Amino acid sequence: MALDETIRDQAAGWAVRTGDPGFEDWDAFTAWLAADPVHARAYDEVMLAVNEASEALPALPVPDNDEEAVHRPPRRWFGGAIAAGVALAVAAGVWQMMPGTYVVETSPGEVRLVELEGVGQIEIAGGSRIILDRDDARVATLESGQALFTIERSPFTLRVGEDTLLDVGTVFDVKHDADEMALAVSEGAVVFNPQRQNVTVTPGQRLTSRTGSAAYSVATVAPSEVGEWREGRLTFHDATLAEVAADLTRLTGVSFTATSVSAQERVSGSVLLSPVQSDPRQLATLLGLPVRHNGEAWEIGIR
Amino acid sequence: MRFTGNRNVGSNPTLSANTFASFEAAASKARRSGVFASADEDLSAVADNGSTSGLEEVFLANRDRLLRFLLARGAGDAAEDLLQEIWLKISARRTGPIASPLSYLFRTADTLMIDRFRSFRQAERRERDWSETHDGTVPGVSDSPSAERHLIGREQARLAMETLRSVGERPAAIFRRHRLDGVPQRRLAEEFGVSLSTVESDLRRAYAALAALKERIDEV
Repeated sequence: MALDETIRDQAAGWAVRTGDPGFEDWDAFTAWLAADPVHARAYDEVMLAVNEASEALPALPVPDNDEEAVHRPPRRWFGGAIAAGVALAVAAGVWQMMPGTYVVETSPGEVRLVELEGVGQIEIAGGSRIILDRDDARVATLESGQALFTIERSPFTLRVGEDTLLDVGTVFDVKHDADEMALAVSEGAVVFNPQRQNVTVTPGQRLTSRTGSAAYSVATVAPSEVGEWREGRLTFHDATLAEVAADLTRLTGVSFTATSVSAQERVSGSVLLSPVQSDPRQLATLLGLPVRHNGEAWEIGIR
Repeated sequence: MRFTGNRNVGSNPTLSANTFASFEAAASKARRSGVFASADEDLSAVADNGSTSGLEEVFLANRDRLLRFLLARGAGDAAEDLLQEIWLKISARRTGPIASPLSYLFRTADTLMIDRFRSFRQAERRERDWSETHDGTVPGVSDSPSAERHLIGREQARLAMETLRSVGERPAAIFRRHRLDGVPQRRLAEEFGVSLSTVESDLRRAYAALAALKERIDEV
């Protein structure tokens, strides 16, 4: 159904305004919507088109010319050099495990809640390792795994590999494995590497950065997906089967692996964890791929 | 392992049971105290004990407004269910202070509708893909839809990029900075040395062009 161009322009205007975090004029927006049912439809179409485009664009390499250079990260040695400097500065605090620090570790499938007195709380997903400081509840290091941070009194600084996340009063989820760091924000804002790229990640955004690289990308994420593992659900967007297997292992405590043939295949979709936990074969229907037990783990994919 | 003050989080059923319990409690409390007349009082009480960010009270005081919004937004019969969903969302989690609770609630409602429309469209597409791919494929053998989907994603990206370029280099760059890097519009005005209304108008033209593009693709 083709949209009237004037209405589409109006809808686009509203989409721009409501897309600003400071937008307040919901009554005027309601009035515009109520004026004609076609308006809501037009707004939905615009929002969907814009969201889809925003998610698709990072798949393209960033062009070398013009202002794209602005958000292209500094050359690697440069970022690395600064990172080394930062690491050196904090070395006494974290890397050498001063008396005040301690480790919280979860086994696969386990969920644990840690209260940070006067600061907030951390819900730690299975198969994760976090270093906390008894003397300073405002710093932590996520060594590996995944956790949802609810920070009531900012600032709070989280180190993830060589990256630093500075929170400014917020709820955010961080996942860290050998390949990648992923930060998703559901409330407030988090600054990614304030000393380097200095990117503010806002609600509904997900920033990913590969290990050992200063490059990063930002995509949209449904706020309901942030920390959804706590509710026993997991959503994948264009994830490789290897990633799916690793995440499922970590969160269910049941071992999964992807076959070498299928490991790089990409899938999208939502999985409920508890049915998969009780019957891993259910994944087969979900993914349309064979799932079998190879004696050690549940193997997903074609052999 | 040496640490104290942690506990294992209960299983899911407990969590949602608690959520419902708090819903009942808060709603009846609101009725008893006539929350629509004394919302301010309740708000300050909540702010004092710090147990919530005041969202629940703002929700109860503005329930009708939110309902009107959802109806105008096209929720139809689902409007009441969506209100309930918003309630569950805000009472299930403890968040930090929210600068503008009412705006937060409207935004939550708007996002729910955006997600709804998206899943509606996806279901439509799946149905179509299903009937298309189930012609001539061998049962039990994957005809690698994921690789195909990946290609479609890149093709979609290329088309989106071209469309943005056709609107102009600056709108394309502003779109990228705003949507992909998450830079607020006000900061973009400074960055590009233009007025806020120019940023808005660049984005509006970019959005409209992408919507027109999608319409063309979907018609194929």
